[in-house]
Order: sequence, then C-alpha cells, then structure tokens
Amino acid sequence: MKTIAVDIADLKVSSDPDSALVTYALGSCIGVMLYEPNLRIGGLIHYMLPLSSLNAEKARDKPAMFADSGVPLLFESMYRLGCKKENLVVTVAGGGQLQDKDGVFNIGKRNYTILRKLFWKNGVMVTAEDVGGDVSRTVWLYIATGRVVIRSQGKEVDLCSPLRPS
Amino acid sequence: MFSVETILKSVTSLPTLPVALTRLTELARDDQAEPADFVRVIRHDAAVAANLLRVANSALFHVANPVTSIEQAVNLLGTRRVVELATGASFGRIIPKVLPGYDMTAEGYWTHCAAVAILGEQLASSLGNAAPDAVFTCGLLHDIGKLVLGTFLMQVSGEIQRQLHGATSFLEAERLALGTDHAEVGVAVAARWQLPPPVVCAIRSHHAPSTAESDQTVVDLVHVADGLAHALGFGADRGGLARTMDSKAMARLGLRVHQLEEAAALSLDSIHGMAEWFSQSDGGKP
Ligand SMILES: [Fe+2]
Ligand SMILES: [Fe+2]
Repeated sequence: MKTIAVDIADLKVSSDPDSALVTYALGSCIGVMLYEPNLRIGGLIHYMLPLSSLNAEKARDKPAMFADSGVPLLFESMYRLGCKKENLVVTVAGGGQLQDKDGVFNIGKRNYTILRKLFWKNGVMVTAEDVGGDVSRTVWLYIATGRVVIRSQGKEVDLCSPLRPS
Repeated sequence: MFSVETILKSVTSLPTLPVALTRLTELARDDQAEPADFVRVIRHDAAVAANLLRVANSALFHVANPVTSIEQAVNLLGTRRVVELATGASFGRIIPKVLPGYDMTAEGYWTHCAAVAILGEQLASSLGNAAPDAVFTCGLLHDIGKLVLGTFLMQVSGEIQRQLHGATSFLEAERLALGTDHAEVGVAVAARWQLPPPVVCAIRSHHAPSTAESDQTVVDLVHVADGLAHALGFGADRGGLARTMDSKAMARLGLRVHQLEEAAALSLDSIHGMAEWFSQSDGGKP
C-alpha cells in the first residue's frame, strides 16, 4: 500500500487502487474527501483558511490554501478524470477549535461555515463528517474502497466505507 | 513519583547553548555593531557558519555566484536573519532525536518551535508593535522545558491520560501529574543558559500571558502564535487543540481573526522552509 501525503494548503487525487491519500494534523484546517465508487478515484484537499480574498497572490500560487478557491478545484480535478458529481461520496473532517471564549480564534468555524455555504449553493450532499471540538485529526482515504479513517487522540474510527474490499 | 526538585535539577543534563549565540544576540541589540563584528563571532562556530552558507546559497536567495565567505553571507542575509539562523542552528543541535512523553518526533518539535517563531514574527510586523526579531527568538525557545519534562512525563503517561479528562489544558495535566509544568522547567533551562529577560518571560508566561512580569507584548505574541501554530497543525502533540487562549492577550494586541489568517497565509512557506532546513542539518542527531 502506497500512502500519498497531502500537505497543508494542497490537494491530490489518485486512481491507484493500491494507494491511500493521507493528511496529517488537521486542526482548524479542514479536509474534504471525494470518492467516485464506480471509477475508484479519490481526491483530498487540506485547506487552511476560508476566503481567497485574504491574499490574492497566495490564492494564485496555492489555491488549495483557501476553501473558496481550493474546494472547486478539487471537484474539477475529479471531473477531469471522468467522475460524475452525482456519484461522488463526500466526507469532511477537521475544523477544530482552540478553547477561546471570545471566538477570536474561530478559524475552524469560519472554515466550516464557508464550506457549508459552497456545498449548499452547488447542491453537494455530505455523506459523513467529523468536525469541530478541540481535537486534531489525521485522515486516510483508501482508493480501492473509498474507506475514510480518522485518527484522533490515539483512536481510529471509520467515517465512511462505500465499497466492500474486493 | 518525582519531586519538583529532581525535575528542575535535571536541566543540567541538557547541553548548553553555544556562546556564539549569546554573543550574536547581544550584537543584534547593539546599534553600534557592524557586520564585521558578526563575522568575527560566526567564524568561531563551524556549525553556525556552515548553516549560514547553506542558506545563503539556497533557492531562497537568487545569487548569481555561489556565496563562499561568511562576510558575503552576512551582507546578503542581513544581521537579523543571521541571528535567527544562528539561533536555529544552535537550538537544532541540542534537540534529542525523540521527545518521550509528548508523542512527538524531533522534527515535529522543531517544526512547532519554528512555526511559533515565524508566526510570532509575522504578527509582530503586521501589528507593528514589537521587535519582530525578539519575538522570533522567544517563539523558537518557548517550549524548551518540554525537552526536559518529556522524560518524566513518559513515566506517568497513564496518570496524565486520566488527568487530561478532568484538566482544562495539557499544561494543567502536567502540573497535576508532576507538580510542575514545561513553562516552569523552561525557566530553569533559561536561567542555566543565561537567556535574556524577554525570552525568560515568554517561556514562563506563554500559556498564561496575563501573568507576565514584563515584556507584555512579546509574551502576548508568543501566546497567540503558539495557539495559531497548534490550530494550523504545526505541533500536534498529545494535547491536541486542548489549550485555553487568553482573551486579554488578544485584546491587548488588538487582534482580529483576519490578521491571524493573514499571518498564517504569509508564514506557511517560511515554516516549511525552516522545517526542511532542520531535516537537512545535523539537528536531532546525536
Ligand atoms: Fe508550551
Ligand atoms: Fe508551544
């Protein structure tokens, strides 16, 4: 099994059934996982901030840094490989929060809010999600089965497993 | 069980920071200091000199001809960058390969410290209210106590795990399990290394910035940068995001969420650069 690491502010797609996309230490950042069960293609983005209007230059260099520039790019990358929107299994993880009663540090929540808006506007349904809380998460997306595993605080949990291992 | 004295005494097991670093930090604060003064100090520290040349020749600076002398490197990088690099080189060398008790690799620890240094520096310059290079050094050294405390923490990990459920933060869990925490132990290390007062203050109060005795702005910036680093996933230790942010620190700095986001966006490349630089250097190796 090959693991393909997706860095912060980056996105990757894979059609290699012997691979898994993995992204480490999602804190307030959010990971969006897309999977096409018919074609067995998966994609993962690890975005850091909600809006690309924050810094136009960064948005150009690293569109995957922001939700509003990165998430559409992830969908397009999947479409380019022949995936159909209606077949995509969508899962979401991350968006954690530090303990901050004034909410100055609400990047995680802002990251999540903008994603929900994007999905709502484009009619995207989320199959499963694990978001919020004061925890850090690591996520695996197995290309052969679309299984999504989340490790947080020493525990591993299956978020979603669309296909049985063949 | 360990007594607090045993833990505090064990700081002597850490190697000392090289003299060159203390000398360079002094020069950086001295308006009269010339580049030549920096060159003289660096010549005596082979590791610092080597790192300086490597960075000067890296892709970061587009130099036509390779930089071969310390003089050229100092002129190219500027004295502030030189001090930052020297701090990094010296600090990198004393980090052990693994940090028991925190579920963290040497690289993970280094990346966290680098992230706090860079984010703190970035926030300082965007707020325009503190010496950014001072914040950099404080950020880099803020968790120095973890290098000592980890060994003890490892031996009570079951206890810590139990405490974490009731405790408000990982720091409090350390205190409940060991009677001290990495901030207090860090101050003992700083005293042994004779680090300047702002660094000592930042180490002591980075989790409770409102208790700072002086250098309030620097302490506040390190506190915020530390939180931001954890939020961004640079420094995921067993504590996760379980850390309490002091709202007074953010009010004192007049900080808004978009400034945090901007600092994060602008710092990412530098954090990656500094993290990589550690894995290439001899840092973390015995
Ligand atoms: Fe700390
Ligand atoms: Fe820290």
